[in-house]
Amino acid sequence: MTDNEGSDDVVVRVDNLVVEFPAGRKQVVHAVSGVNFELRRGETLGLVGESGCGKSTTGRAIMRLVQPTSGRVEVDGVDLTQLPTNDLRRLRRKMQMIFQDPVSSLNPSRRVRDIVREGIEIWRDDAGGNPLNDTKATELMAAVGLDPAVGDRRPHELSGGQCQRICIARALVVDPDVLILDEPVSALDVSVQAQILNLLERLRAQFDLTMLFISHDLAVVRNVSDRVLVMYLGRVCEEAPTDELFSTPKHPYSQALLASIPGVDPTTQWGLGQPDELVSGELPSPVNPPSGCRFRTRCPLANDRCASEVPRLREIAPGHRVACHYVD
Amino acid sequence: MASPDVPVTDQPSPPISRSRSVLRLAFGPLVWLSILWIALLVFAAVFRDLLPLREPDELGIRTREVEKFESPGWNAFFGGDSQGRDVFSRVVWGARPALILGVSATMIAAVLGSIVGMAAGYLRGKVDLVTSILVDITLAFPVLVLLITVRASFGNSMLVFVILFAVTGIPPYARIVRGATLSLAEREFVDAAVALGANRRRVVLSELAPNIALPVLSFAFIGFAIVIVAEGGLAFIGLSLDEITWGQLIAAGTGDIQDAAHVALLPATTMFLTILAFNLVGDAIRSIVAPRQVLTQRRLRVSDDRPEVAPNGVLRKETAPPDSRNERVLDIVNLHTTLHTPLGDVMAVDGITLHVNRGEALGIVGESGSGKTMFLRSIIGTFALADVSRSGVVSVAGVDMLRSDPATVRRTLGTCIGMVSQDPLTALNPVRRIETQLVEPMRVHFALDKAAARARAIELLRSVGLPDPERRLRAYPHELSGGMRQRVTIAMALVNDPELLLADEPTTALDVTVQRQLLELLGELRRQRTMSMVLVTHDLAVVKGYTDRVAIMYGGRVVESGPTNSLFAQPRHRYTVALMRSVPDLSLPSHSELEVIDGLPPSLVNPPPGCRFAARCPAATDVCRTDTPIRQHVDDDRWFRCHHPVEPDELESVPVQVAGTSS
Repeated sequence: MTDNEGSDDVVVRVDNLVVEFPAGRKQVVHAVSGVNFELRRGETLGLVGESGCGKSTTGRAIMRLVQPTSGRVEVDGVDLTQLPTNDLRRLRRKMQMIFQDPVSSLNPSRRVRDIVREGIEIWRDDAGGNPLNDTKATELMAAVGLDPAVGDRRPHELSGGQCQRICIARALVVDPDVLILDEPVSALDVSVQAQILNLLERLRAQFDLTMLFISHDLAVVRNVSDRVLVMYLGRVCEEAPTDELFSTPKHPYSQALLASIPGVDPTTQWGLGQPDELVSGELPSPVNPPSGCRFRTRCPLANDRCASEVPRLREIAPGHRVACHYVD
Repeated sequence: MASPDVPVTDQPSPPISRSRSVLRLAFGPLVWLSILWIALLVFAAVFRDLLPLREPDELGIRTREVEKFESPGWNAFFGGDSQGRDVFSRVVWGARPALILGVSATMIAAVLGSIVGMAAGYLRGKVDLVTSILVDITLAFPVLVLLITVRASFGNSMLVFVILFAVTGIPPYARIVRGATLSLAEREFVDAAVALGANRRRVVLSELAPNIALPVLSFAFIGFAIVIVAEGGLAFIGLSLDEITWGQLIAAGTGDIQDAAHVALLPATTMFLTILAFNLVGDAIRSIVAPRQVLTQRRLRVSDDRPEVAPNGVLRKETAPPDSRNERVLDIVNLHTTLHTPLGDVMAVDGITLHVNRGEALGIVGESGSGKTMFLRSIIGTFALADVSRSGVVSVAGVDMLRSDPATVRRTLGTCIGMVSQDPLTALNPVRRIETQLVEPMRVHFALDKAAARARAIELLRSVGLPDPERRLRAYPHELSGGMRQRVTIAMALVNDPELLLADEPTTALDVTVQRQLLELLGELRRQRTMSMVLVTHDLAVVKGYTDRVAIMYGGRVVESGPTNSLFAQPRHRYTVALMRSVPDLSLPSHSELEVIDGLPPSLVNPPPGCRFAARCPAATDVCRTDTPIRQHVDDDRWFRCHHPVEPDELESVPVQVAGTSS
């Protein structure tokens, strides 16, 4: 947990972020519908939810890799949603992104060394006064545990774990403050996943990184995060310090999510019922999300109020916010 | 939004330098001959004036005159044409215009088409719309009419022809490049470059262009051949260049084809060989881009060595009493599966002995490259590519799947085995309704009438927990959610009431809340039907709650096996323990350091002797690197293969945990 709660320490503030995509026939995919959160300097914020909950879109919208429909994303107080291209390029350097598929994240026709050096090439002649030099690439290859001999190889000759290390080195070359990690270990084997998670933890300390860690894997998020944000169908259900969320989940969806972890007995762990008592059915379409609370179609507690009134994200304990009519 | 867990991609890197061996594969002898032929053409085109040939338009200057329609002989190697000109000399002369026209038209079309295609694919929106319309119009335009008009107004000079072929050649390149760019632009490395601060120019030049160059080059060779053919066609209707071209030579020679076939045959053969050569080289370049296409060889072999003795040295018959034999739905003895690939022999399955009793669920756990999927495929005998040999015994409900006749094997597959794969979309036909896909096989296999088959389909869908089955029958696969699709594939697997269900990562692509529902469903179906199941997964936690016995695979071998509870309570193999410990533990606080297994999984191409885990094992000694550990039995059903097994007192210091719950 971070001990510095002052507003000065907020690196990224996401304010009422909305992202919608056209879905043909005048329909709209409501990928992200009014998400608010802050990313504080030095912390790792976990963003969990199932596929289709908008967690990846949120991450990409923060980088403006997708254009937000409305809302603000402030990085060090600057709103990047309306920034002109050149200023945006400069601001993006403060944040970098790691993607799920390490192989697809690397240009197949380039050598590893050139991939890691890409950021240096781009910012070599930076008139704005922060050029980078070549030794940085060598340093970072070593920092992520890559043998220098790998530099001459091409991505397809390497394993997934090695490719993810390359992606991390490439991102860190430009000295970012914030790392947005979109399912960075989901495509890796368990044994390799642990290597990468430990590496990220080490680099976080070494380079004073702030992280937004997006994942569907609760055990992984438990391990890396200081705070956790649970998303469902484009909205935030619950936001809490990690220990608190994993010991006393409040939102019915958070409870269902935790209870569904394979190998866990929800009764002994949390005093909850079995998963099929906590959640039924499947995710509704984001083209036609339910009115009111979006979880109500699968929630055992749902009633008329849930259909008519959108639950606000209320603070129930310091730093613990829940969007549910029935949590106090 | 990423699907939660796409196939695990961590593969050991091949030991041989891939680029070199791929080149060797793609460039077989025919391709080298083609390259030689192209080199000859270039030589002839450049040096035609210096070659000791007769002038193409004049009669015998250097030696005595060539007669009209002279047959091939010592005077003129390929004979003379209707006016006594040397056919060979004329064909050689034709190489230059062919190359100039082909190369310049192709290059201009390729470059311009690539620019247009990349602009459309990368910028999208209006640019894409406008170019698509233009390309469609150009493709629909009658080129012949254009040609006649242009030729009538601008003459038949080389320049006019180059421009004409270049302009009409642009659309195909634009289309190909647009498609390639669209798919490349969605790849994450483009996003990564944008995130680093790359501007559009940089994205196009250093991210997209290098990946497009090779496919365009490949198509350009084929495009060149098309230009040559087109020129030949035009020459036939008298619309060619005002130079000696192969097309004209063929056209002129066809009139006398019966008296002097050689006059037309030589230029025709030359043109044919040229087109063939360019096509072959183009294909070879394409196979560098997609090396898998090279592996077209398909063969399934079975070695005859039927093992009487199990690898642990115990006679097979003694380990399995006859009465329990009948209860074995799946019985596998010393199965070896070797994939013969151009990179070497892959020992995908290396001596596995396993069985599944009636009504039992066996979990197979392994990381990618452990051979777990190949093991499943070895049971059903389908392999996506290559030359595969199997040895050992695979017996399904008493039928020897390796040595029985194909009809028996097919019948056993159809009646005894159901399959559920990771991605339900690959199992379902996207353009047919669920009803067709479920009902048709029942009508064929059980000769049910349509109403009866439909009733049974509805009953099956209901049994797999699909809500509103009557309505879902009318749906197409894409109209269902991932979880519902997987329920449908499970229903399809149950159509024949199988004794054995093979499930390959059935819930890996699904969300946790849905995953749990499906695992519960599989367990319930298994109990109701006394069906056996093999559940293959990379996820220890999935196996833990939903199987009776487990086999842990590593490097193509089973390293440890036993009843699920006892194996998880007291793992003996060092790999099993390391694997369990590398899973993040819910009960530990944030930022706890995870235990890792250093290094990478072993390559299964020419693996070293000894224990496959030796290179990554902290307890490995010399014996591990030389001797393959044999099976050590804790009891009848519980064994491991390790020279230095984990002792029970070692475990107490660090309890082994799987996804949050202490075992």
